[in-house]
Amino acid sequence: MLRDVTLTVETGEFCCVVGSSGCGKSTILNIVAGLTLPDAGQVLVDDAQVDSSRLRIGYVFQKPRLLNWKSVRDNVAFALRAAGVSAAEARARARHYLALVGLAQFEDEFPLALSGGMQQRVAIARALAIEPDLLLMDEPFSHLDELTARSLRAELLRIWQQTKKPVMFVTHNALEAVYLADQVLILSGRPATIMKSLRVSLPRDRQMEDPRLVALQREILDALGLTGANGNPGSNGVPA
Amino acid sequence: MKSSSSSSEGAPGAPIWQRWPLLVHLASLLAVLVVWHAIASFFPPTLLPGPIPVFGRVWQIIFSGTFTVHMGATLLRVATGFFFAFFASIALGIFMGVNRTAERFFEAQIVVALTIPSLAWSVIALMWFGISELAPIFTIFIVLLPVITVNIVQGTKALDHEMIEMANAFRAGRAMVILEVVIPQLVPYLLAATRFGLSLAWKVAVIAELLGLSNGIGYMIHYSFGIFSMLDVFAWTLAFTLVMLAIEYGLLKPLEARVTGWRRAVAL
Repeated sequence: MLRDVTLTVETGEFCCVVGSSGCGKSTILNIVAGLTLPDAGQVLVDDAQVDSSRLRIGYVFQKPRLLNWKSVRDNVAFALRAAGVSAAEARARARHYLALVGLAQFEDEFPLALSGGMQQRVAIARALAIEPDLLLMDEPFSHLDELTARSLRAELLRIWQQTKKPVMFVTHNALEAVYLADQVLILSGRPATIMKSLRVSLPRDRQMEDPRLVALQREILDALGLTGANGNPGSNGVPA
Repeated sequence: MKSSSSSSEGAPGAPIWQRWPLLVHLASLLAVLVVWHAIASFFPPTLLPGPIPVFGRVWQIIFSGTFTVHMGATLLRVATGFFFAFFASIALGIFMGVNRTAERFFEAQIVVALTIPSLAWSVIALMWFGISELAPIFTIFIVLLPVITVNIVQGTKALDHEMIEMANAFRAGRAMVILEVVIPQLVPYLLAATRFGLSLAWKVAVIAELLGLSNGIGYMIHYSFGIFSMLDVFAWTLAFTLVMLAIEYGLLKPLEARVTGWRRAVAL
């Protein structure tokens, strides 16, 4: 499914992987997280080969994947306790991170009482709470309506700026990718490889409608062969 | 934010029987008693005793302590048989749920075991183990085992693997995954199995006692049959039923409510 995928995420860098559905984006994340074993290859940290299980990973899935039988606070505490934190400290840290995502007053609620966007915010708080070495996010906003997604993107950046942990964010939305990222990797082909990488050096506090971002989005879509440029088939299937 | 479960409940102006569901339950019970009393007046008390003599007899057997003795004996057999069946079924059910080969292997045996009537098992057990506590306990165990196992297998197959994957992504240990992610998902199946298993166990116990034991509810019902006292048959059955209801409403329903409270939260 994947071939010769080599990518580097720097400390403090927000890296987005863009590609259409099913091309293997999630597989890359799963390999880094140690959930899937690669047929060949390694995950290196600071150029040293490391056992995936040594890396502290915060994972945010497409669906919130909260435990519906635990309260919001206990859901965040679950990840902390799994990381070895004591129960009391886990509760305290959970509260802190829930406050960070603006859900402090919902800590005793159960997930089914919250909206999809709020559940996803809990999932983000859970991933951040363990203070991971690396944050992995698999299309976390793709199941949400666009309005909620916009507000969560901005919030994610706001929180991320405070800690600047390296992030690998997978998405099929090219505009979202350039809005969020410092580095965009374009994944394409069967088997998939990184066909191109883009630097987004715009200052933070970006606007989704910024023409510079739209231009970068175009570049990505061109590379993926989805626009009419470069003799590629346009969206109607006919080369421009 | 939680929404109320029925829009008319508590609404002023709604008829009283909608505002207080308990009244409907009580009215229903009262109706049964009244009809029973009315019909019984047409029959001799040796054929159909009315509620008043029956409740009087119930009070007698409880007050004299005989009920406690026999109810206790039956209860002990049920509890023991159920206990062993419950845990053996969980182990076997989870094993079959996660392992396809195990499932295929045990499926035939379970289907066969399910079709053998509990009466047959009772007789076999009495012939094997004689008139002892082991006979009814074994019977309860062997009747319940396939039933609860099938239930647990379904529960295991319905497990949400995305939750387990999430737990693995956060490096949760095996114990945490089983206790905090798997078991809570099995709870509704465990509850159903407990309810059904207990109700089945009582019936099996009474049959086993009726056949060959010298104490217990089944024995007393048989004894009452022997002296042809319909009053006693009714009274023992009723007393037993009251205990069953007490267990259901005093133990199982509150347990269920506690353990599934999170379901009643409603999305915004």
